[in-house]
Amino acid sequence: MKDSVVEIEKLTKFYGKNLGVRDLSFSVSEGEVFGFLGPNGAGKTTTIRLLLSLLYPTSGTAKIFGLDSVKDSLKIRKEVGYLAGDPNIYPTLTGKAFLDFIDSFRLSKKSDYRQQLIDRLGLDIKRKVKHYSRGNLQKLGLVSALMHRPKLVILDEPSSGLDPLVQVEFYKILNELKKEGMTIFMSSHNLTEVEKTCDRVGIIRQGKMVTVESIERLRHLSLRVAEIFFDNGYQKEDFEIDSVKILESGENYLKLQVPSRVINEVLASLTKYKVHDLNLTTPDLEEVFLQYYN
Amino acid sequence: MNFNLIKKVLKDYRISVLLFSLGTSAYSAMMVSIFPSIQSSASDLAGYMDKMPAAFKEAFDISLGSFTTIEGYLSIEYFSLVWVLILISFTLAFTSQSLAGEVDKGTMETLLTQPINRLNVLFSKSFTWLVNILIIMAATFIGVFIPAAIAGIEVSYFGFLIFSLAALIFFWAFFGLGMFFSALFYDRSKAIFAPLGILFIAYLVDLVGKLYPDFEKFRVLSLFKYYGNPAEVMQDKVLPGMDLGVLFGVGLVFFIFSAIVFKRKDIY
Repeated sequence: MKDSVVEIEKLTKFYGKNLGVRDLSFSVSEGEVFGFLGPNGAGKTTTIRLLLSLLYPTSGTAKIFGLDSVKDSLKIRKEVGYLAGDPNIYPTLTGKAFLDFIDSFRLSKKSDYRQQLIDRLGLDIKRKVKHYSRGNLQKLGLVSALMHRPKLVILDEPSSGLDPLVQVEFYKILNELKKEGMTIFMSSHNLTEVEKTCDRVGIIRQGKMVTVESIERLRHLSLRVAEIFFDNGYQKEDFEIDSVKILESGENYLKLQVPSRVINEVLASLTKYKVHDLNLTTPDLEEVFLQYYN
Repeated sequence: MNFNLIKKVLKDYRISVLLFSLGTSAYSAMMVSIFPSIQSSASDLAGYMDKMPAAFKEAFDISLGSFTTIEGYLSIEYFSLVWVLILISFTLAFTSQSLAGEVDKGTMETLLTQPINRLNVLFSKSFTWLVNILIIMAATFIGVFIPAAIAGIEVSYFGFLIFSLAALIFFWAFFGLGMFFSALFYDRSKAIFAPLGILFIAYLVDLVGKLYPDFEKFRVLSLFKYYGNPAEVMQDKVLPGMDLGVLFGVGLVFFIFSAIVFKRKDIY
């Protein structure tokens, strides 16, 4: 069994009387890609900030590499790369000056990996940060988080603001780093992104961990929306399958919410009819939350 | 202290420091260049001064020396208030930006997720303030010395050195206060207005205490009391140890508070 890189034990944070997170307990193994999922305000960013010692816990502990996140935060941060959900970077610096500044905190020799990341993400580092678009800020934040090839990288909504082409490149980079053994802890809203990259996910809601699942299990639980266009009508009863919800229906049109585990039953019913078109979409992750955890 | 952070902050402030240095030195030069004409009309001014109420003269440290000696003249016209306000404004702009401003903008999060501890951030930024304030003070005095040498006005360099130490300790008191409020608040405007309010009240308490004998006892609460009269420090060439000890202590206590508060502060 691989060592735990992140170990959280009954971690609780209150902001005055307001709850940030309560009694969180989970761990992330070495080389694992862990997705941290939850709706806005669920406590994802609070957890990340507790791990980085930006916030101090009300109770409980967080350990990274076996070290206490509060007492040993300096040692921890030498081996951690971090991308904030909303990267706030010194506006008057150029991209290059910012990366040099971040580089200056580490004694390790500069590698050509930084330049590789810049090229692959298509980032112009000569411009001042204040002139960057949201997407370019995100790219700059990603380069600064990954350029030292840290043992652990913590990414808060990493693909936010990236265009689809850059997202594809970013997923490739993450997969390469995963193969190299980097542990990745990322928060996300995007189920597709999580499915592509994560081994396991933790779902947080209203400050509490609802579940920690493998990605296969999450996929099994997730709901799909099926839109079916028939040529010559259909019998509604054929689709009244357990766990399947009819969202909309018309003479030749049917819209269903289908858990992935009963897709075969729906397909079996469809074979009785002539289908003109079929559209199967993965719903937004928050819809999954609402279905399974509300 | 972190050399890279010091280098970055020095670079961030280079334009401000340049403008403050040019401004204070130009003002010094202007004041020195008109001193000979003031000096020559000192006898007229003496007559005018005789008609002033004694309390008023005392409150503003006005004496005949205020117009006959360069130290007295610069003290009353510049170093007692205008210059002090300019340098404290720089100090409070700096302190409010250093902690609260960076938290407000979110850049503190970026900085504190790097391998640097919070006290190191505080000390590095404080060192940068010291360098910047010394540059502005040096520019001010160069603005005095060069025109004085050209006009043949005798100036005591040692007197100015002693005064600069006293002034630095006065600014340090406000630096400590400014850093404390900057560590305490999340909003830059609060971090600047709280110590600015203290500055205003301190000046008012000192002035009222000088004007009205009944209020004299309250002057001990004002930081301005301990700054004293710059002309006396320059002419006597002696540091008022007790007063400066109070100022240094106030700065130190609040600086220690700022370190305690900032070390335990939640950054969000």
